Amino acid sequence: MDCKNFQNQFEVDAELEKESKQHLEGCKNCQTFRDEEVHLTRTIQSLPQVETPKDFGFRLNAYISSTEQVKRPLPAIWQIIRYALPTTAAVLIFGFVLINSNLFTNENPNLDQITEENKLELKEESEIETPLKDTNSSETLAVDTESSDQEIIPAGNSFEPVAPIISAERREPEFVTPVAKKEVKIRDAKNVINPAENLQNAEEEDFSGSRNIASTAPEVITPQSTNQNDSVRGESPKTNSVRKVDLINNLGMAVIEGSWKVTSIGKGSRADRAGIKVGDILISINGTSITDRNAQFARINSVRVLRKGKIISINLAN
Amino acid sequence: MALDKYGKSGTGVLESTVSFENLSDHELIDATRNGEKDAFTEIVNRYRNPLTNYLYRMLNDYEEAVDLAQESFVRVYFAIERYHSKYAFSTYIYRIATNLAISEIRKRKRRKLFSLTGLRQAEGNEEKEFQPKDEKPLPEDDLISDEEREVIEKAIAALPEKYRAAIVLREVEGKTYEEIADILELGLGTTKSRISRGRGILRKKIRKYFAR
Repeated sequence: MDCKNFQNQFEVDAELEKESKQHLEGCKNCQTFRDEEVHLTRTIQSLPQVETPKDFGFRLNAYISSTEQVKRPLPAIWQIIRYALPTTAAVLIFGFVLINSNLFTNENPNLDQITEENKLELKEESEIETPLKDTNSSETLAVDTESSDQEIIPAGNSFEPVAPIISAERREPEFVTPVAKKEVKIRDAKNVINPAENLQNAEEEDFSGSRNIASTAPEVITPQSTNQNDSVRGESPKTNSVRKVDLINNLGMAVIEGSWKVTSIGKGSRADRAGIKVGDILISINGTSITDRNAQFARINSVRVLRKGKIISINLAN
Repeated sequence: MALDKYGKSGTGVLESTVSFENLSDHELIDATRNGEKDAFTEIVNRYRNPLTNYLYRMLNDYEEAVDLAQESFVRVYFAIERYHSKYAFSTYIYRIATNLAISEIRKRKRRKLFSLTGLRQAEGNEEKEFQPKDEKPLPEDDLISDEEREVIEKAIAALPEKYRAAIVLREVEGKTYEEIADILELGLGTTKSRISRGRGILRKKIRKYFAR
């Protein structure tokens, strides 16, 4: 055994092996090494042992208590509330969004715009046409109805509310109110909130005051066919308005004029085949806005409808 | 609270029921997990002094050693659910203490780096600020002088940390090579090598005293 091996194997308190003993006896260096090692070990072992202070337990207790308080789990009820609150909030928000989306599909803001526009237009018409009715009298009505080649609608003696829906089947206006009573009605209409009534009043006005009586005739009436004397402002739009309704009715569906909401569809009709559904709101015809009073159509080839908040183009060319 | 007894004892001396004294460390850990508060008290009782002594020799700062011993127990307490009995509990807690001590030594090194502004004159005793105030009376030993003990304390405190932990665990705490290897997460050969090198450094420091 050499010195390196001896020193590597040497342990202060371990008993030496026979080989190590033999080497140690003959090696002064290793004897010195052993003595130094023993002395070092004894010196280290003689170092004072430190102990924890008496309040170690108290301090540890306080430390753990304070930390534990921070980490202490919430009571069971708070655990429930902690999860229940966000869940409830999420459900409420979801429900609110859902309800709102339904509202939008039923009461589209575009519809409001349309009805608002119609209201304004009706007011304008009322203001313009009231004097007309005073001056033209019933003669104008007769002339106009003849010139327009429309079916003459007898005037009723009493005013009755007109159903707002013009169905495809019921193509003839059921009555026409007398001019005198109509004026009263028109004035009253300004205070009426229901747009459908307003619109109907406007329609009635058309029938009487400006003689463009709603016709069930499918033929398109060209502007030239109207009396030259009737080129009063607002007349052409009125004519178009009526024609639009007729054209739409001819597709086999009924709409509310003004709001242009489809209220019924005949089975197997063109509208039905094209995929128009009850509740759709017509936005445009042949690419022209349905509120465009100057637009004239010979035939409806395509419409755009608002359905559940989405605009859908429907081709009616077939 | 696991350590309510500390508060009740008034003096802060840990007490534990007799039934826990005969249990092994692992049994005490299991009991602590099951809500036996006195079991953790017994664990603290068993390891508070050796652990503090080890940390004191590592850091050469009594207050710091006590603080880190406390921190070691706190960590054990809050991580008791995660403790695995793969190693002995002593290995586990000494490993925690060693890691805390090494972190502290590194922090000190950084602080020392910033505090060296030239005001401190080299007096051949760079570890002076870490010298503890020995409150305990030293054991009577004619062969070993107080001066020699002081030198060896300083020498241990001045050892590189990788040697220091191994030397203290071996020479002061009397751990086996295997235990040290587990605590320091080293191979057995590396552990022996570090201890041997550390002892060589210390031997040189006290050689002159030995020669007298």
